[in-house]
Amino acid sequence: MTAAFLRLSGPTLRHAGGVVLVGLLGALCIFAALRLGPGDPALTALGEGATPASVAAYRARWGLDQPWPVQFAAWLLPALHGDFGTSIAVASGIPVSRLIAERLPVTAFVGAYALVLATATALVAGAVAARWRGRWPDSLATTLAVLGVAMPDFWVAYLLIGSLAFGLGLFPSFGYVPPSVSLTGALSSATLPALAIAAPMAASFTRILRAALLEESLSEHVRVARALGHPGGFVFLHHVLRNALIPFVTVVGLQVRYLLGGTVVIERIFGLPGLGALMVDAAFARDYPLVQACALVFLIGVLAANLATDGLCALLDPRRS
Amino acid sequence: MTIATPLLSVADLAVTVPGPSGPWTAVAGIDLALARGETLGLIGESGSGKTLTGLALLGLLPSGARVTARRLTFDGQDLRGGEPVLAPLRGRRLGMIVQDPVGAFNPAKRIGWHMRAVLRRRGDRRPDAAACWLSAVGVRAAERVLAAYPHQLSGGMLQRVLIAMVGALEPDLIVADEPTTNLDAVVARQILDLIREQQNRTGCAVLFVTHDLAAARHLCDRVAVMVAGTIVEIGPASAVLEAPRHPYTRGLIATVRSLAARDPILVEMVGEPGRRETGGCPFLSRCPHADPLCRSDPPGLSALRPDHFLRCHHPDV
Repeated sequence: MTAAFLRLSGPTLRHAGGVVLVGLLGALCIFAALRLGPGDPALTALGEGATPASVAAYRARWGLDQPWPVQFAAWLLPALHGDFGTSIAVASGIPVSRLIAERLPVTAFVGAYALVLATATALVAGAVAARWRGRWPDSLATTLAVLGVAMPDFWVAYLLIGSLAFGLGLFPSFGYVPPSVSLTGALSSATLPALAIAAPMAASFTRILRAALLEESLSEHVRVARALGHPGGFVFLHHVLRNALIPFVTVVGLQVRYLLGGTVVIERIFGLPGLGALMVDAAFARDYPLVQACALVFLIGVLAANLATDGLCALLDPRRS
Repeated sequence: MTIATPLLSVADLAVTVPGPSGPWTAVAGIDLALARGETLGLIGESGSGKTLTGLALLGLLPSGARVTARRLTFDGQDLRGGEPVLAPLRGRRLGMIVQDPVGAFNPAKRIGWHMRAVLRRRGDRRPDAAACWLSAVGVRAAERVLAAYPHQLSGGMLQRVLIAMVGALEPDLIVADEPTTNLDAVVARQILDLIREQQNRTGCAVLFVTHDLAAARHLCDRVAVMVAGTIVEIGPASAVLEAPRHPYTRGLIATVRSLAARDPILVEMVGEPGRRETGGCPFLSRCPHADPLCRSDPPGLSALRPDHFLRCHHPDV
């Protein structure tokens, strides 16, 4: 265990330094993108007919009259301590950190649910497709995967609402119950959004796992394992699937960013009070502190997922140390 | 052949593999017999089909390859039955040693895991079983090796471990597919000695696939020489390697001798190893003695002596 930890910590710690740097650069990009983009928070908040005096007062109140470097420092330095300022438009005066603390668990729950659904589906479908390559289970899994990749998530969302919510009445089509209130209620209300996010991901995961399994099954150690008399199931589990997990985990880790992107649209469709929906509202209102904080949280989520992927791969592949 | 009740008996074996322009017959007309305890060398250049022949016997050809034979028996069992017959034999009565020991191990698992998986299969549950089998193949720091991942060990060490695993299974026939090709000369000799020790201990037969004539001479009782997917000469190792009769074998040995003697003018064989040609002699396009008969009629395997066979129309040229 100690050896495994050391193997994990070396490259991961080195990577962690890079992650901090990327995070800071990302924060700068987020900050600059908002200010370079069109729109003005003051005009958006006060309306096009606002007097120059009221606009100037608004800018002075929220520090928007300061030079950019000053604004950036005034945002980032407290942000490093968890203070993201207050919302200036969507929920005027309320601390951004409180808004995020309310919304983040929803997105994290639905995202994790979708990731579990996609990974589990892909593990089964990919393994079945590779094990019966060229036979009907393979054709079925491959066809579904092509379909899944071709369907955009918002379209899948309406398909699911039409069939499972309105048609069969199995799941609610709108709203959210937190897991702290009712776990079954939470799972039920998050099922359709999670399915909509998971469907395209499951499809691409399945294709990747199938390809990785087929490639691994051609390797010499598989042939030697068979020559040593190990049964087919043993060889598949310990030689083929075990090693195909390495490229699979890498791809799943990279896909987390699409998962986060997917939540933005899906949360609107299903009326989930999540971070994605909050960020869209904040962007329309030019609520700079709120958009910045949401984007930063998403960025940290992606970086954390990459770091976790790296660590998992180092555990799975002893050659990476 | 003169061997009574051979362990392995092969007649007219052919292997068809998928190619870019449809399936093609890479190996054809293989006749072999192997007695218990005997070592038969299968010699030939790359692409001559010797590895395919070895894999065909074990049923380990890549998917898409097809094996046909008039006779293919191992200790009385008909191997033409495919997986249902072969799967129970592999790892019990049939073993394999491969050319690339580095690729032979799962890179994600330690050596100890590989050893234990084999020993479990054999029913050996002694706590020090793995170390015992490793010390039998001359591995001294067994604990260190067992704790290592394959990429942390040398090719020679991994080949020893593979031989230890195959040895623990005590098969009756080992197909050794160029086991020394990727090793340096000293280690290669040690590996050959290990294979021989294994053979002395268990009395197993070995099909030794190689292009190393010196190794074949060192290890083999008999050798078969393959050209373009078929055997052109087969006989006692001393006869075939010291008094070769087929033009290919003669050319091969002349080249090796001229290399060894550092002749200023290298004796080279003309032509490239090619595909089997339809009709005619498999060595036709490269043979200095080819005539119209060689072009029209494929020569059969005929006996020069009771134990030395040749596939050539002109054995006395």
